[in-house]
Amino acid sequence: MTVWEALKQHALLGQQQPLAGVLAEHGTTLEPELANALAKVQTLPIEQQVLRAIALLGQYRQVGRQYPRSQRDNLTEMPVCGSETRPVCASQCQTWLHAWLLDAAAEDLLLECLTLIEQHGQRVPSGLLVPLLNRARQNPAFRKQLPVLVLGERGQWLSQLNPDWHTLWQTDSVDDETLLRTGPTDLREQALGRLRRHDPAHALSLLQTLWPQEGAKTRTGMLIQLHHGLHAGDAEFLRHCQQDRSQAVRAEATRQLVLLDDPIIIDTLSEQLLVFFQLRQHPPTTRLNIQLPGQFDKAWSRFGIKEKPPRGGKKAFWLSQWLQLLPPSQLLARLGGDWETITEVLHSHAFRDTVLAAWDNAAVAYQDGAYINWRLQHCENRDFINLFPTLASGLEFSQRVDRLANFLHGALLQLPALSMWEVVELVTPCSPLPADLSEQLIRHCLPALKKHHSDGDSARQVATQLAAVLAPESFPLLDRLDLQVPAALYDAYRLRFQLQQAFISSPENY
Amino acid sequence: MTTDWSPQHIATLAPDAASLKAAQKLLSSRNWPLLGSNEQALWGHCLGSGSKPYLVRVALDELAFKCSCPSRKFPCKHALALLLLYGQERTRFQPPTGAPDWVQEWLDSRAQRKSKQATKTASKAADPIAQNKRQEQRAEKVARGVEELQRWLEDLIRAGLADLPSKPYRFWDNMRARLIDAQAPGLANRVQGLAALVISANPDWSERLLQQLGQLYLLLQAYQRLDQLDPLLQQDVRGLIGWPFLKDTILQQSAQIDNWAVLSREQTENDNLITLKIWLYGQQQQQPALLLYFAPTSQRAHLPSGLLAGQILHGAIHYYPSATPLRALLGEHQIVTTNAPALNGHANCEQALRAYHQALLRNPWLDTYPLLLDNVSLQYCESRLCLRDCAHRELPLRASDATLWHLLALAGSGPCTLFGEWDGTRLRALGVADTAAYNTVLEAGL
Repeated sequence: MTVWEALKQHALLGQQQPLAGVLAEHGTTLEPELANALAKVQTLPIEQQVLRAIALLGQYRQVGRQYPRSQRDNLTEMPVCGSETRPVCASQCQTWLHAWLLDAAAEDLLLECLTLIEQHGQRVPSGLLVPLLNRARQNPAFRKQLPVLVLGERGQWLSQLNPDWHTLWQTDSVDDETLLRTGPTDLREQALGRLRRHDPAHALSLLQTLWPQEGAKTRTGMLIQLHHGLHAGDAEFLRHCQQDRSQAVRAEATRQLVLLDDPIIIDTLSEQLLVFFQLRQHPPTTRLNIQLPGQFDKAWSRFGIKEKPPRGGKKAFWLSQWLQLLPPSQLLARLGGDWETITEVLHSHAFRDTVLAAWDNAAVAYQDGAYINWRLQHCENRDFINLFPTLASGLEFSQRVDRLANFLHGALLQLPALSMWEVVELVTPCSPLPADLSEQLIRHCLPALKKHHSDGDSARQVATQLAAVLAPESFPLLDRLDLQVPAALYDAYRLRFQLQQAFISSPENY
Repeated sequence: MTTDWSPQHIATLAPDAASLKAAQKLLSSRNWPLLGSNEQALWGHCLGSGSKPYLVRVALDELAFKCSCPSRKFPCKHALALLLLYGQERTRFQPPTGAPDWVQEWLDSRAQRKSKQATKTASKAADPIAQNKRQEQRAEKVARGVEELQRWLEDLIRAGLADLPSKPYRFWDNMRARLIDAQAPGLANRVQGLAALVISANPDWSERLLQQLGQLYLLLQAYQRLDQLDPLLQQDVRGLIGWPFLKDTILQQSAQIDNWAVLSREQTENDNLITLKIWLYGQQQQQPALLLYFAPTSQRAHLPSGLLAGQILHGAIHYYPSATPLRALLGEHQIVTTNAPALNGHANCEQALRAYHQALLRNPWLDTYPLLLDNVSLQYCESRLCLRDCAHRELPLRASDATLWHLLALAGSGPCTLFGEWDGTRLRALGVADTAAYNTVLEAGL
């Protein structure tokens, strides 16, 4: 026990004894000056002795405190952070980043700014790394789009140190195989996709080793990634997956087999479907005959078909699932008809809506461009506005842009007033919008925007999303035409324009 | 007058987070049919729900606000939005062609009020006899308070400190109130600090309590022998007891002229009182200075809005009289640059601690001491982050997890210059300088 500890014990217990005993016990261990100073207090009343000794020793300890040099065995060397090769973005850009990191509604602007920084070979300042990394951890959608190079060497280094951040994205030190085994779910799926592109057979064998320990949701997500480098060697595993305990996995395995053009599955599905889904020729007319069995066939389960509908009738539910198993064009060929005939027979059919909705889904899943083009050609303006956002993902990008441009051109006079949200939905599949299409939209859609009465966060978010889709270079048109668009849209679009201009006009400063 | 209108700086003026968020929603140009500015003020018409727009004015010289909206918050969301707009896009403000009448009238009335106040202060000459009498009365009260506190401390020791955690808060508060009555607020604060320590149930409360009791007792002894102390230390003791210093008196003392780098700016709120703490560092004389400002939460706009970390200002610093001069008042000054300041700190931890120990010998009641360390790097020591100098001597760091990550982001793995407050056992990092920039360490990085 040191003299300080002895003193503390004395003070805690409130012993009514002079300090002489305590000091005598430790006197030899004290420096002579300190021992002398402490000896002087012993003439005072006991309480004052204690208080003075505390004051004296406390001060002595504080002034004389030493910190040892590092001992090699209790020191963990910090990994070394590489030297930065990219310059920090300019101060105006930093101000924008700072403001948009604080504003949840400005995520699109934030990502665009980060993309521009990356494209110009720059990085964000170190002071913004922590909020950026935290945003990426909390928001998977943001993480996927974050251009990792803007974090610079410091950001990469930092993300390796923090367990919350170190698997946020693939880095040089984390290979795809490790990421597939240990990363968070969405990154594991991305890693599998990359492995599949590189070496499909090896990726499949990796997936097979991990398969038994994965949950149903992860298994489905992983299976979706098999479409990268899909080849005949996958068929056996996919057939095995058709026996999986999860309905979603079975359905996805069936879809992959159809994508693979596996003749066994396509023949099986077509034969079974054509039993209750037939085109009957009754010259001069043709009829669509749909007669589903009264009972659910348990054998259907291996295709991922569910028995109990969440709502509505059982038969319509089964029919919808069956029709989603094959690309509509492929089914049509087996049915022995053409789109004209289908248009006619479905015109007043009781299952019309069920059939079309199921085919819409199937066309997107199987990228059935022929069906989608037929469908979009044969719908009114309002239907196009509703359908295009859903079906466009089944088309090539250039086809989407053409289709939307044609629609805007053809519907000039009859275009209904749209809400900002509807415009966002309509044009998002064509994002980033080419300048000419963007101008068309500004000229024809924005003047007819429905009036909105909210200036809340969600309205601002929609406005920012729309501003993020439009081509920035088209912004001056808004002023030239003197269009009265919602203020939030105008401001977000102007900021995008300024952001682009800043990088374009003086790239050396940014 | 500040020249920096960054969002982070404007955020410090907001009465609360909701006001700032509401202000951000008003940044649309459609909300502002009129925006104008000149050297003295900013103004604008902000459309609200009523038929007439709100008239929003901001005086730039001392940062004052006025708005015709009925909000009780100050500054209101409209004034904050006007400042944010000014920071973001100055080009949207009409060029200075003279302020409209409603702005000019407000500026004139402010100027009139200010001059009246100055006249009133000048005419109100202090009566030296009455002043002396007041001082004597206060000295008597303080002496009685000091004696009473000493007796109280002796009672604590007699009864033993082990029993203190079971005492009600009233036990501490009674003593604190008596010290307030004795016009010794410094001592009252120390008693409150003791209470907080005991109530915190911190595992090392007894160790720290003993240390604090020792310091308090030393202070009481020093006050009772005030005339035997060095004149500068006398001022320290009087200040710690709670004797006020008159700002005018401080400002009349000789000033230290230098280029002062602003190394940190921290604003804290406690019981409706905002404390703004700014550390400066003289680049030529290599001396730190601490500026402290206080304001009730309702008057946060009265706190100085300039002086952002990383700036360098040239001007006069008037130190409060002290054996270890740190606290100071800022005299005439101007912002020289907002670029990264060139800093020369202590070459290693040993040198820095020696400076601290020397200061402690001159003034045993030093609470925290500013340390500027060159060529230090961050290291893990026994799984804790610490600071290591080139001689491999380490200093423990005090910070929350979030702050530590921000510190790591700023400092990286290489050597840097670090500024912080040393509390005798651990260093609280406040800023990091590398070759390109000086950054302050923040809780959330924003």
